[in-house]
Amino acid sequence: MFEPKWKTTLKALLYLSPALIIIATFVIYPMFRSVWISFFKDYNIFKHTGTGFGLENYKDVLTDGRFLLALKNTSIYTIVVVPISMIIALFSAVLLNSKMKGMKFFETLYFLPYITNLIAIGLAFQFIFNSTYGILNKVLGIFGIDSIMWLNDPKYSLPALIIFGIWSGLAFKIVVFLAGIQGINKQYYQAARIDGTSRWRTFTKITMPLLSPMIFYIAIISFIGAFKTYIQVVGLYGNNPGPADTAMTIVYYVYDKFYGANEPPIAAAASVILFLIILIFTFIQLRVSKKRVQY
Amino acid sequence: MKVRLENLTKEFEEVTAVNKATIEFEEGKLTGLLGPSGCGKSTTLYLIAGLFKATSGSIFFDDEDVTKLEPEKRGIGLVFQNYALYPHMTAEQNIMFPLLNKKVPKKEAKERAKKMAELVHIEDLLNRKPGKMSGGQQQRVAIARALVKEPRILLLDEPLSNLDARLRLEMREEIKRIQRETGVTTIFVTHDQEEAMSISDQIVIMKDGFLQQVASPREMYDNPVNQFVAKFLGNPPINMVPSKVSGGKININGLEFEAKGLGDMDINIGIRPEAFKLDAKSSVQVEVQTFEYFGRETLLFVYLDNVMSRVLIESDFPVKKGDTVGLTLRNNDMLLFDSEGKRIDV
Repeated sequence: MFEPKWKTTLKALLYLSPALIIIATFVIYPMFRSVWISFFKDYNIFKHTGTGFGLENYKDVLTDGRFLLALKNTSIYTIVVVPISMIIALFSAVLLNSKMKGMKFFETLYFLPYITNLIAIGLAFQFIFNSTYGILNKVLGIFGIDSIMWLNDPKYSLPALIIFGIWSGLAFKIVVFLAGIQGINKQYYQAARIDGTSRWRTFTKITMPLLSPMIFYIAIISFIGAFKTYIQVVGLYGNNPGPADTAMTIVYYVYDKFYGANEPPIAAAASVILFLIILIFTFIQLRVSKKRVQY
Repeated sequence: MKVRLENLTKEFEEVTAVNKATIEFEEGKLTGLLGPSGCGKSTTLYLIAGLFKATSGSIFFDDEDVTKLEPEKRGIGLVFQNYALYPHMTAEQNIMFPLLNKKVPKKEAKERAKKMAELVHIEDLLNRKPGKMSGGQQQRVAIARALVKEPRILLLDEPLSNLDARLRLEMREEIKRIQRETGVTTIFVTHDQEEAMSISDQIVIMKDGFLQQVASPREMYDNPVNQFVAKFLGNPPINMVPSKVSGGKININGLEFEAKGLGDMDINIGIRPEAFKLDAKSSVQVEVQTFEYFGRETLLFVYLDNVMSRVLIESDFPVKKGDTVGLTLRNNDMLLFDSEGKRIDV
């Protein structure tokens, strides 16, 4: 390969510069800025002046009942949504991988939700969850289950968010898993067939291990995504985080503190805490995956 | 066990890969399925394995018709060209896998895997994963995995094509040894005639989906049924000199031979490079155009009736480019083919 030289490095930087400038402006600069802001008791985001430098905000956030509720909700949401959506996606991908006419059509169909606006899907889900006319209650009614106030009963607002969350994340996971499955050498399956491997054993002993890099990739991505859940809340509840804050998530808290309560330093402190949580868990996941995923 | 194909045909969308093949593979023998790429040899193997379904015709294992039987019920072991070892399992886990599928107790499976590993000489690699093994070692593990369930037939798809030259020589001897020790009926696919000749008890040669000939290596080399088989076997390849029969005689570059009972016709004369003998007094005097030195032997390139021909001689006779040499044939050793390439018996 080529030795890196000043001339080639500069050339590469030139090509990369449009992306680098955008990332620097909209990602890196705001990131450091919010860390900086989070240490001020009061901060004027237009004049960039602040008073009361210290860790006060972090103390406030961590003792704020609403933040702790948001943290609890987000954790429950993540713990439920990530594994369930992954399992459903994996099985859907395996089924989609079977030989069938018009497979491309179904692949496209399954990918459609991914490119559809989540707010629009949220509106559709509002209809599905509607306690009087919603199809979900109609279906449950067939099994003799009484009509549930999905969106208005505080007991059910988080489950509703979770159902919506599972569904909205499926498309991307299915497509990635499908690509992974299709990338597995067909000869492994022929060999397994000759050796009389049952379907279940083929799935658990061959498909799953060979897909493990993909599974861990999806696990990390969905974990981060779930911890950052926000649009799903807006999609379902509009401008409030569910009845009595029951669908409050961390990012919604951040948003609310910034625009609703006009307390940018508190919002910044909460987002830094979220950042640290994600960082720690992702680090742990990567460590685990390095040990488990190898061949 | 004996494998018999009867009028076996496999059509893919546009091509007929195997065309009405009737072949018998002998019990307990090592058979080489030989032919150029696209001749249908691998398709034939996969038909026997059951991974492909025959378009028409039948496959018999002894007297049992297995044409419609699922591959897992045929009792075959298959070694894939690139081995298809499961990359996330160790050699031992790979070998044990078919047994565990059949719910053989783990302890017994482990013992049988160990025995297999000893047979193929990889007992010290059992805890290694395929990614950390050489091609030859992977090949051995793949053979062990195929043999561990005691198949009725062992099938190998191009077993040596992914190995480098030295390993190839070693592994072909190994395949022969393993086949002898186990006595399992074995069929292997190859496009390399030398490979097929060196270890097969029987060779099946195919071309464009059609069976050409089934014979022992020696019989096939000495008595090819047609020009294709004659040309495909042997390295350096056979010389083909176009000629004519006229008045019951054949003439090659001034050398005359009797051709009893043959009417006047166009023919091709096949002469193996090693069939020539140097003879200074011969009426055929040719100029050495160029030569290749192989150590023990030297290959001369000369013109015979304007056809560039190969002549293999012992290296103790020194030659150089431009030398004139006299040639005759040992025992009038030549093969005659008609204009369609069919062998003419003399």
